[in-house]
Amino acid sequence: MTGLPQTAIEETAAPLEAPREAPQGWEPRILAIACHYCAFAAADLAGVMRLSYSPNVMIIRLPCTGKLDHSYVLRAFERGVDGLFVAG
Amino acid sequence: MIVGEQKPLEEIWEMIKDHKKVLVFGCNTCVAVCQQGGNKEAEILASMLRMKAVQEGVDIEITDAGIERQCEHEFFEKAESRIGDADAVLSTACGIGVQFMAEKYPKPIYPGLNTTFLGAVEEFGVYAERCQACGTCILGQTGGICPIARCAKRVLNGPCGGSTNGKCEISKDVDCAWQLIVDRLRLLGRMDDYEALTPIKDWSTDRAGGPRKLVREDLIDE
Amino acid sequence: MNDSQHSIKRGSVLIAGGGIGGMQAALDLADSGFKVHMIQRESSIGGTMAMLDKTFPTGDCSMCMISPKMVEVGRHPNIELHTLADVEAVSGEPGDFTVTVRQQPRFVIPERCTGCGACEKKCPKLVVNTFEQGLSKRKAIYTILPQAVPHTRVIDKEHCIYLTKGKCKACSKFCETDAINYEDTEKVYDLQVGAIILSPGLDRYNPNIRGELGFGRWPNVVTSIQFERILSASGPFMGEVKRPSDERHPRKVAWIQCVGSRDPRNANPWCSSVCCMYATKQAVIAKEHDGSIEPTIFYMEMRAFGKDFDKYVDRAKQQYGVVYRRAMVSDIKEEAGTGNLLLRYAAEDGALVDEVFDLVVLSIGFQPHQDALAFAGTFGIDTNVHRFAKTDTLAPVETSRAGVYVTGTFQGPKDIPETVAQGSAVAGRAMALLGEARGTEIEAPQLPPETDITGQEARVGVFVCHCGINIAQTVDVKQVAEDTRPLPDVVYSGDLMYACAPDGQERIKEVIREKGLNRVIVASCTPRTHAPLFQDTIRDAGLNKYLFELADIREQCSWCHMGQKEVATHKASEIVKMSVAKARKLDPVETDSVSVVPGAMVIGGGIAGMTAALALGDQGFDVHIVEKEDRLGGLAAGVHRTLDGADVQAFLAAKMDQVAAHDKIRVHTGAEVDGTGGYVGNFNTTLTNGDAFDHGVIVVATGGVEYEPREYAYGESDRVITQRDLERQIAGGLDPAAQHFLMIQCVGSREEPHNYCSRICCQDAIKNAIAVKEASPAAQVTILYRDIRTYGLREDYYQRARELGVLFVRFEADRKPEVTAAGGRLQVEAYDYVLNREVRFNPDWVVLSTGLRPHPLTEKIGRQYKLTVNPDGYFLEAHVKLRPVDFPSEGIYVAGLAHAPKNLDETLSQSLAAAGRAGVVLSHDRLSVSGIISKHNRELCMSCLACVRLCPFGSPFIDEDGKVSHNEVICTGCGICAGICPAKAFQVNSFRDDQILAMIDAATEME
Repeated sequence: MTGLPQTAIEETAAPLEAPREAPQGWEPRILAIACHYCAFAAADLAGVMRLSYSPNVMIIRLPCTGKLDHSYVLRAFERGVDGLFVAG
Repeated sequence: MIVGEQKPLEEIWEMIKDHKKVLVFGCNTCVAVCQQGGNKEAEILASMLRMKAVQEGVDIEITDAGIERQCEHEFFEKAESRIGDADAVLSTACGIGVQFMAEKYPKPIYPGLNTTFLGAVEEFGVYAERCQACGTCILGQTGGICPIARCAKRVLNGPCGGSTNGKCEISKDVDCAWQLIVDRLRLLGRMDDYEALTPIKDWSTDRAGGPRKLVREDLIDE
Repeated sequence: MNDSQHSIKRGSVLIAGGGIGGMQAALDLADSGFKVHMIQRESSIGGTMAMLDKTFPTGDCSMCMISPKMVEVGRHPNIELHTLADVEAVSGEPGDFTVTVRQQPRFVIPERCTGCGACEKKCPKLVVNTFEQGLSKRKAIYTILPQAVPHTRVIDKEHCIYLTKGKCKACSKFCETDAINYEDTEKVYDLQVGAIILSPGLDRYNPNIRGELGFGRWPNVVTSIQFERILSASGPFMGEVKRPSDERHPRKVAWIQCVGSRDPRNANPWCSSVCCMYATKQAVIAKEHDGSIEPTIFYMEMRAFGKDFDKYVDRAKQQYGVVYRRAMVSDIKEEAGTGNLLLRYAAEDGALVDEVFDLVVLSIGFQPHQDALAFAGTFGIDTNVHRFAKTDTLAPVETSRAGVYVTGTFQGPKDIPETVAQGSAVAGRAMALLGEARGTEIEAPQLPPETDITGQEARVGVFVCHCGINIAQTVDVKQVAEDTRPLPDVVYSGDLMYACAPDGQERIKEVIREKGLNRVIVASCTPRTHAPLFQDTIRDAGLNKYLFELADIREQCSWCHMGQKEVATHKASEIVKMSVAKARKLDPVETDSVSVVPGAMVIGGGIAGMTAALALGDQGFDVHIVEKEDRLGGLAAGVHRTLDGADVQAFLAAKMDQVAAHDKIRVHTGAEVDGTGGYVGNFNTTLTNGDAFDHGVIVVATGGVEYEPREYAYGESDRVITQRDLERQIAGGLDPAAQHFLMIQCVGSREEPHNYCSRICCQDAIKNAIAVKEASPAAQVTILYRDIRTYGLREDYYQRARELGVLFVRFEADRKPEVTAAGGRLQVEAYDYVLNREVRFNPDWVVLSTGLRPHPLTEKIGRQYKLTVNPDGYFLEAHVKLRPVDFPSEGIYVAGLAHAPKNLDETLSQSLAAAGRAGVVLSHDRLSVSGIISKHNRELCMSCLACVRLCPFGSPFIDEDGKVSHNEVICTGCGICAGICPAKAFQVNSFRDDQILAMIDAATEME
């Protein structure tokens, strides 16, 4: 990015979606895609340590995040998830 | 191999937005290798367009399918019903596939890609032009490096005055094709080829002579 | 080369100590068909590594690495764990030992305990948590760490209210499986084993002894292991950097090095080898946790001697702003009121400086356990003067007693990869000793034939587990079972009190038979530990084990949504629904196997190659040594003595004789690998001399070369020589008389473009310096150095050299000494940082300590076998900590200087380790292919090569017919190929796109 003004991208690329105000009491639906060996283990550890987090996170286990496919990300968004967390 | 590049989503959207049933149709040979137009890319594009439709509040049914090559009749057979159901097709093949489909089906066939060039895979994710299909190959005289495809001016008898330190005047990132040719001929010990004068090229075999066609009489049943 | 004439050989090995070294040895031995008895004093395996937050120099999470290994050890059918146990007596001889074990009562019955933890929750007694280094409290019934293996809880009989006062029994009241047994007693029993491996690990120096540092008095002075727990996400502050006194975030943090190390008067004389690097790591990680922290490390010498360590220290300085201060801290006082600490130290110029810090970390060193002498006595082995196991530089893992081997920090201070390498090395030694008894003490399970489910509709059975109250108190288990019943293809959905208990498993088998289930889901705890158990259960009932899916509703639901019964129940139902969606699409997986050629090729005939070859030959495998030169020997041919005086030439000659006489070893000299093909178990090789052979594994021991100096007037005078030249002269009977030898360190090392430590040169210089001074006390030796890196027990010799009057003068890289050789007179000018002025020497000899370089062959071999090298040109192992001699490609191993500069004993350990790892593969008639692998559909594939280019393991390849094929034997199932394939020609078993998409659809179904 050296030599270019830092705002260049924001100015030229129109956002695909206009930001909207979140309705009262709105909770995002989040899908997490986790590597069996690390992030899934971390999610387990969170439970073992009785750490509390919002229940609207569902976790899908993969053998490795290398297994992540474009179609998973797109399918999730198409079906209305608000956030996707890929960790590995 | 034919290299293509996906068009911006906005441009694609403008083409298809007024249809009700759109099929995104992949071509699983050349443009799949450059990860732009194979079945997988068709699937991705279809998904992105569906989301776009939701955002725009437009009701379109967008599905995806694909075949091995969109430049041969026989492959289409398996996809006939899918194509038949759609009221428009977004083809992610090269320009050949798009036209070939348009000739076959009386419905709008839109291009999902810009067909860019005939190129090689220099490394994963890097594609570079090597040939312009001029119809009269002179690689035998130029050390295997094509001045038609790789020289901006397509000059045939040595570099122009814009060659500096082995680079072309249009950009310092572009090698001077004639520098490459000379280096290569030196390496091969064939600088005599460089000295030989190349006559004026017959451009009638290039597309300047109109659309080209090749007929192999020996392969055709009379 | 059997150590005994004794005729009985047992196919079992006892391993005393369940840290990472013992675990590695156990897995290698168990995987190659030996029965392993692992004795562990604590209630869980894991050792020191399980206490660490991250590891250097990569910053990898320690628990993430060791936890899967612990689970593997805990589950291995050939490994029996004896926790809370000590060995009392050993009799017998190599091949047939009788070991008496004394096991302390656990007071919890492992067969009944499900690890649910209800007892721990209800236990009213709080006890100082020693695993957390006193920074938090635990209960009297507990596991030492959350990931404990075995997961059975243990009652601390010193603190249990019932066991000490006769009333309470809270744990027993709340245990749903009646697993508490207060009457449990100590047991003493005998084990018969063929070999013994000692891996008891280490103790840490107690800094209370150094009163001036204020540990125990000032709460914000902590030990490095305490700080490790402070950094840990599962530690007392959950990874937030806080100081103990007020849980405030410290800004200025000081590390004090060498606490308890390199201090013969007050503490231990040896260097603990790891503290410089772990302090660097802690400073970097602390800074990553909290960017406002300003770390300062007070040190004597920066011993960053390992692979890529110097670069790590450079990065700490440049990218993280870690300040390294070469100074001794003499005194720490607490500032009244603030809890801050006032450090007094002498700057290098001698001036006394006072500086205030918020938190001080003492980098405490390693030492043998308090009872090390008694431990050694029990096993009948000798110790050295420092109470470490006595070993020989040339036989680094052999104790004084045949058939008893040692690995890890009981052999001397070392870090994780060297411990792991020695773990594989001792496994290899035990394999060689007991070779013919392999497989005699293990049992293969008898399984019913698999039911063919081809063409059947999916019939899914779901078992929702209460896990006592662990799940049931937060999740309405019966509701989840009911929610699940109407889902498509579900023919059974019910609840179980403990799915994993024997009666739970019987019930699952019963329902499989009654309802004709062909897909099974258990909704309980984590698949990481429990999926294999239930897979065995359904396999027992005749189902292919890949028809199983585990829904984690404990760790990932009930435990993190406590007190929210409604949402947690709903979420659990959703998790089960996702599992059902996937399970309906599960298919049986046939696991294939391939034959193994029981032979090895060793590339390189130096000490490393010969050692690996002999170790493999002794295990009974055919070995081909391929050596480029006309004779064997490699770089060691120029070495005469080791630092501790062992005769390298005699050792080398003996090795060469053994190789020549060995009926399993064939030597191909003057040859290189020309053509190569195949994969693990089935390589085929042709050499440049035309020889061709098949083999199952490859050991790459291509070695290194010595740097030929161009600096310091080398070549201008015959009195400017290298350490190797001096060594040759000493061996030839040099009389040093009253001459002055000036040595210069780091010649060709630790500077761009070779910015790494060559690791051997400090030892070489000190070895020769001692030899000169011992031959002639009148001789003068000066060593110009940057940091003296006599790590571990090598520190003794640094001490000895100073006692002999060797003069050490430090220089810095930007102010290097200058050597002139004008007029036949040598002159050396240097800057002395202690005197703070220029000094001049006129030595008789200038001796250059030249560094090491990778062998020029490294690059070619790397290309031939697709092995990567680091920026310095040394081979990159599969994992810097836990797979130190493996390559990512299965069946190829590395040993010696090809991997990185190292000393002879380390090369020997590593070579034995490579042979041990290779032996695991070669010991199998067939290698079974894992079930979770990528399947390639050639019909869909158009050979675009995306997979070939991106697979880290080289399993997709261009086949004979010019199109892409896939070698499933070396596939790890990571799925990178599946993610990148534009034709969707790859799908990973049990993680197919349709299965994952079904889960996503289920997770996003709109209610």
